[in-house]
Amino acid sequence: MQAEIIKQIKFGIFSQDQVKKLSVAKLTVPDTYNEDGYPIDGGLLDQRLGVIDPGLVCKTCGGRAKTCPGHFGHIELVRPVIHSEFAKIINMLLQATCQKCHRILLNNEQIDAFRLEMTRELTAEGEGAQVPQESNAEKAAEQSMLKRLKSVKKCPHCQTVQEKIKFSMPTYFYIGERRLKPDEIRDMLAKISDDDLKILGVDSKTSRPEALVLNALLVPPVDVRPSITLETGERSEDDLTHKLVDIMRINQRLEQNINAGAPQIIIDDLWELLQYHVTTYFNNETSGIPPARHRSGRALKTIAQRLKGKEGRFRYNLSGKRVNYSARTVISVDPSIDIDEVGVPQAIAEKLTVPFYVTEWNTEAAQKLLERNEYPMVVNVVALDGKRKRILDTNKEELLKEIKPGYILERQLKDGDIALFNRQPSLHRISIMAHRVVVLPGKTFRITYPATAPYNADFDGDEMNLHIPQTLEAQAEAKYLMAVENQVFSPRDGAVIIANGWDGVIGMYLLTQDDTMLSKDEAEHLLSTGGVRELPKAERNGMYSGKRVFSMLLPKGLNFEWQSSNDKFVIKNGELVEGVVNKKMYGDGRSNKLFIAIVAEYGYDALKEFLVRSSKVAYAYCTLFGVTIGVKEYMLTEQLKKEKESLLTETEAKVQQLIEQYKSKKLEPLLGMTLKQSLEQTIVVELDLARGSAINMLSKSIDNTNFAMLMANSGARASILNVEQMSMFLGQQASREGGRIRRGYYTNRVLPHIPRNKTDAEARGFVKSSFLEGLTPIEMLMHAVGGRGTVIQKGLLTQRSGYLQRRLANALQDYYVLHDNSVRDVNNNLIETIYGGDALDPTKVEFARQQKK
Amino acid sequence: MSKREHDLVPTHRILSRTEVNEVLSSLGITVGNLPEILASDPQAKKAEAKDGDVLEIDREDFGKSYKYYRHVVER
Repeated sequence: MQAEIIKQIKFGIFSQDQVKKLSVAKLTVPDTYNEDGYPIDGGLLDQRLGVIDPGLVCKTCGGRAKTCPGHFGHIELVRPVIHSEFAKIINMLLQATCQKCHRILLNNEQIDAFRLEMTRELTAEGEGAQVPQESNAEKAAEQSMLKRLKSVKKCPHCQTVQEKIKFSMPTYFYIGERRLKPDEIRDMLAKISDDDLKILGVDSKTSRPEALVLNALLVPPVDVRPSITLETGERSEDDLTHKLVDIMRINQRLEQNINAGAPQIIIDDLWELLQYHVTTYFNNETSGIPPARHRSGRALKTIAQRLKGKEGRFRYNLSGKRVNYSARTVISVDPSIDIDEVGVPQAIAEKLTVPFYVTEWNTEAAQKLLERNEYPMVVNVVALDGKRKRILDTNKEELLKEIKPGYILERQLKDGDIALFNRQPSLHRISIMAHRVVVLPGKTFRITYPATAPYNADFDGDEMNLHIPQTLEAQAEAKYLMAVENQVFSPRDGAVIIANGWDGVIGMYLLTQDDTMLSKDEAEHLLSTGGVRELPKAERNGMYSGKRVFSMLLPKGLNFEWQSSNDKFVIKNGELVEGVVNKKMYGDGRSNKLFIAIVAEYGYDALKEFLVRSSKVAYAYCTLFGVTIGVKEYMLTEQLKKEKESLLTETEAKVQQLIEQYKSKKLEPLLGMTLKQSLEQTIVVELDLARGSAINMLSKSIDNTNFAMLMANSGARASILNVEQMSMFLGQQASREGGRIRRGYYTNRVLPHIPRNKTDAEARGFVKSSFLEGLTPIEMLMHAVGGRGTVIQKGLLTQRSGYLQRRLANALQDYYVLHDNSVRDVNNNLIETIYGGDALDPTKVEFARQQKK
Repeated sequence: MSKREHDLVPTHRILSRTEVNEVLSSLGITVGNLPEILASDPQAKKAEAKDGDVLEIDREDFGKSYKYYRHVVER
């Protein structure tokens, strides 16, 4: 059924008569309960306002706590007060009307002209859109008119000279020097005619302005402000009730003083106090007045505070709701489960339920399930009428007989169930994926390392949420559209996002080296950990080559070839014949074409299997091989040390030479640069070159037996640059302005320790020490300057781009691609005739390319 | 040089009533669901389109050409 479409909503203001009509009780006693603990008649918890205590009957509708919706009451204020939230509108109305005849301060021609403009706007709008909206032009016209009205000196209708009316936040009005009392304001507002109000943008049918000055205050039913009974038996009232008590107390005192004929000053003081209480009752954060406080010193939460902000009714209860069938806990790693699995703690599995729909074909199975009285058992039974019954020892027999097709059994979560797993912030669609449940001991959710990437999760205390789809349709949709293995390729550019890293990459890299040979025991151990029950063909000497062991993990018959400037990788008929597995073809990123080849030929299931098996084998081989790292990886040989020293002296000499050339004006200027700029540029190039040759020296002298080098070469972590910086020297540090560091101390030098006008390598942030040697204090500062620059840049960039991305995502979230490849929004508006101009899905573009070959 | 004549601006053509109906029914929408173009837009002016017309735009992205439609509105 199509839900009713709301075309229009109109808000109005209750008139004083409406308030009294709506009210079921006039409240007169500023108190809540009497000594016996019963609500006082005419008090703030009067039983006519509804009941919330079980056992009591509502005096208005006769309903009990559950059936009575609550009823409004009212307080009659002895002196009127201004509704502070509307003070600005009252001000506008007072400014716009004559103080004597209360007509709008426009002459008749102006009124006619304005009316004409309004009707023209309305008809123009009315043709296109169904709902008459306040157009920008209309708003602007109104604004400019109000400005004009403020400066009118004399009423065009009765020629009265207008006095200045001053408005001071939150509720004070002055005419000349004299303060305007609320009752005077009310009388002034009451005299404005309906026609004039229309010009001022007020619809007098739903909101007469004099209703903005309150005579009778509407009191919400007790259901809105329930009192809480503490364990000690003490009653604690809601903040709103407290505030209403305050209002009534002052109201009563004011009445007594008036009746006793007290002096005007006392009455005025009490009146103002009443105004204060009513103002804070509506909004306790009204600017210009101190917030009303609880006895404990806590500011009271009044009406506006209930609705406003992150914890208000809208954002907390309406836009965001707590859901059933969900769980949240800390996550941690488990390399032994599959990428599309999630480890669920036993305690959570026992709490969460999955529906078992009883049909005529599975009634027997349902009964068997229902009979169980340990772990995967039925918790609730939902009968045909939708009533949910908890299973107890007492009613089990009965229910066993009762169940028939149409019943739903709510069964505890068990292995193999489908669950949606989510980590906030949910920035993209793969922040929620479908996993298969594995029930495990412990208290944390478990996922594998490759599955962390799309969630951007790590295990330093991250928490994640689990949701259990409750219908078969939802389960199927989750399983086939949202399963982890279907999200291996990024919807952004088709790059691989779910892949192995770190030890996974190193393990594969070592295993597939040309000279890797394994004994039978070792090969058996590796393959069985990976879940493969066969051995590959042995070499002549009875050993097994690493490449062959790796090939056992590949889908049978796979053909794949990949080549780059320094790598070649060939798989023929399911056998790795050439190349070494490294991060480029096995890790995440655009360069991984192996995964694409597997999916294109064998599907996502085969890829999942390959990924799971290969990572297990990789971890096992790392252990077998003994991958480790220590300070020794960064120690230089005597030979290298000497080479490094001479490189540094050479470089320094070169820089010095350039400076000399500059001073004697012999330096060749570079294109488009001043001589000074050219000097800087050539020095920077020279210093970069030094680091480049240091890297060359290093990579020539150490090989993969060095584990630091091994990490860099396999692509698992770090690069040769990092190794160089640790063992040779750090090199030039960059300043935030780009270029060498030169500022800091006032005479254009970084520190007072550096002689003036010294511009050589060391003085401008070239670090000669390595991390292993340790930095000198000056070098340390240079490094810190460079480090700060990077941190600031990174921070600014992520913040900006994050917000840009969020706004874009929010603007586009309801668009979808229809079956004809056109893009529509929820109202079937056409956005694009063909998605992206080519209707291509980035995750699948590469498949097409593979197949073309 | 006039921006109306620029190479990179796709051609805009007014669709006849029957063409409009064909397009709309093939997309399963009404005129109101189409993206809009101002009657004062240089390309709309060039095509001499009036309020209520539907313009067909010959677009080309990544070497593929396709049609785009816009509803002319006066504002």
